[in-house]
Amino acid sequence: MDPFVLGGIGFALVLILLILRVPIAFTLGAVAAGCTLIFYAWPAGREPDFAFGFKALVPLLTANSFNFVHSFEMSMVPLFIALSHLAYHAGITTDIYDAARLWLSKLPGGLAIASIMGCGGFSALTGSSVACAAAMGRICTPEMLRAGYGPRLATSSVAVGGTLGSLIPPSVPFILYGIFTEQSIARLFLAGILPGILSLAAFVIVVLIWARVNPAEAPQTEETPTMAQRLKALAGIWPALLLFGIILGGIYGGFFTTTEAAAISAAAALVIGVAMGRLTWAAFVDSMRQTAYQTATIFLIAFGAKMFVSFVALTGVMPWAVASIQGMDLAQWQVLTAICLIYLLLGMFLDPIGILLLTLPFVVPLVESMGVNLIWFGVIVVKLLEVGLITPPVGLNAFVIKSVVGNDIQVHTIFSGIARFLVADLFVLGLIVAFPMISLIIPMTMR
Amino acid sequence: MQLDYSNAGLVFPRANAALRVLERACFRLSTVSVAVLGLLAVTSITLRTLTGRAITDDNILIGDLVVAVVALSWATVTATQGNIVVEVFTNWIGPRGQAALRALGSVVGLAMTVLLCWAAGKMAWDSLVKQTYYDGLLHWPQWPSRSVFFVSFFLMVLRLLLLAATDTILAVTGHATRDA
Repeated sequence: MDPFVLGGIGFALVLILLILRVPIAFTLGAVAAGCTLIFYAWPAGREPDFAFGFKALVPLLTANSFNFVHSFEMSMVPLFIALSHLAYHAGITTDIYDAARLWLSKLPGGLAIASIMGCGGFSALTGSSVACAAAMGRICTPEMLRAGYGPRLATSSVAVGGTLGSLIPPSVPFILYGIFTEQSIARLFLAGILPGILSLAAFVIVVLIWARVNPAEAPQTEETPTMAQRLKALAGIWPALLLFGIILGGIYGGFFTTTEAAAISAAAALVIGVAMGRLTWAAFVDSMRQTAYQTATIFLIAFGAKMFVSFVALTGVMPWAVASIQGMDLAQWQVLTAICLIYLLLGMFLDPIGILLLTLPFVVPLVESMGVNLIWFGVIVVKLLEVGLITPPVGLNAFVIKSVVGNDIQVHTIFSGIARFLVADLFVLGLIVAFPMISLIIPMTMR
Repeated sequence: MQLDYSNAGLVFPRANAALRVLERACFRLSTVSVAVLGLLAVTSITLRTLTGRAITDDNILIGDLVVAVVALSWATVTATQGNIVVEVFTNWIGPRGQAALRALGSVVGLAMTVLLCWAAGKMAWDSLVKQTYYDGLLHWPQWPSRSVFFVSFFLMVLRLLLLAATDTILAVTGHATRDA
């Protein structure tokens, strides 16, 4: 069979199976395995020989599964995931929120701002946006509702704050992007810092404006903490600062590789939790269980994607697509805008890790051929994935917060609040696209 | 962390219970591997920093542990419907239709995992028969991690077979028939 036709059939099958609710990992893996078998067994103009096809397929399967996962570098994924669970169980993330709450409670919308700052702090210890929203949602949203905050602000501020989890390092999407595009994960981590801070600042500005325009939705809290209480709370965030310092200071200063930073920071979180008497044996075991479960889910999709990437490379569809787009004589900004629109559209329906691994094989050769810096592009892609986490109808973070608040607040209420933050998010995305130096300035100065 | 097995044991409770025992054992091993992985990585980095010498062949040992962490949880993830799906297009379908879609997902999963299981089994068998080793000072054998990989896929194939049968029956009859 003609490889090009086979490629087309493969793409169509993936779309159909995804719509039919087949898990992303199985869709990609099964279509890739089946089509690769046909590719080898039935070359164009010859009789099919499936025994030969099967023989050729086996090494490809082992290369994309076992050899892919059996590596020192891959250990950073479970280690960073373990760090976030340990930090959460040790109360390190709660301390960040508590300090932000005491210092910012007198500002208009102070609790919502503290929630966003808390999410920013949690993001520095976790690689997952959904984990960030789930953890902070349990702490912040009920407290804001108790303080009389409007349900839209109380839910949406945490849903959008959670999206910082993937942009502020460490970040699982950056690790996967780095592995699939062969870019330095350390540089990607550093490139995410300024865009992450910019997003955080934009969300805070939205809350300030919201609270000024509609003060009834963000009433002043009765709490008047003393300076001693504030200073005590500020001193309490040292574990978070230490862990963040280990990760970024170690990588930026050239003391650790990213994998080593993952191991050291996870161990430090464990030691701090035990030393402070907050991390029980049960909490430790639960952290390890959640890490194993989450890692398995991510890697299963990665296998499917890796197999699909290999199949696509065999068919020659990508060089054709790249040549066709180059033939259109589009400017770089036009191609980037088109890519952004595609990601925003996909983000409405698909899970971020799924989108990332599904699209990279097609998009990266295209932008690479146009001379786009792949570190900068990585930041754009992760930012787009974050926007996808809060856009309806799927918007995972909105549903995470819904699961926290139960039936008291409807999903459309959460989404209507998110709409205000979305404007700010798209503005920040525009800045990141228009000014590559926002992403590249820190990695350029790395040792 | 609560694992939701509610769908898995609807039609074949005894087969599900038997499989669950094996999956639970593997999941526990995976959980322990996370802790050992962290311990090994930190010990190696500390030794390298303090003495200039890391644990011998730490890269290989860590690679083996990553395989254990990742692979040994797959059957549990599949049994508890932890695999990520796109739900938005099919949320309107009724319970029997949903069961049919789950059955389709399991069949497609089987198409992937049977092939991978066969490839992993061949790889494990070859490394066992030929006594192959990783390059390194320890001459660490390749069969342990490859066998773990094969066993994980084998368990996943069994789980997917059970889920496919369960959901097919649910789709056809519309209710759970106490089995077998």
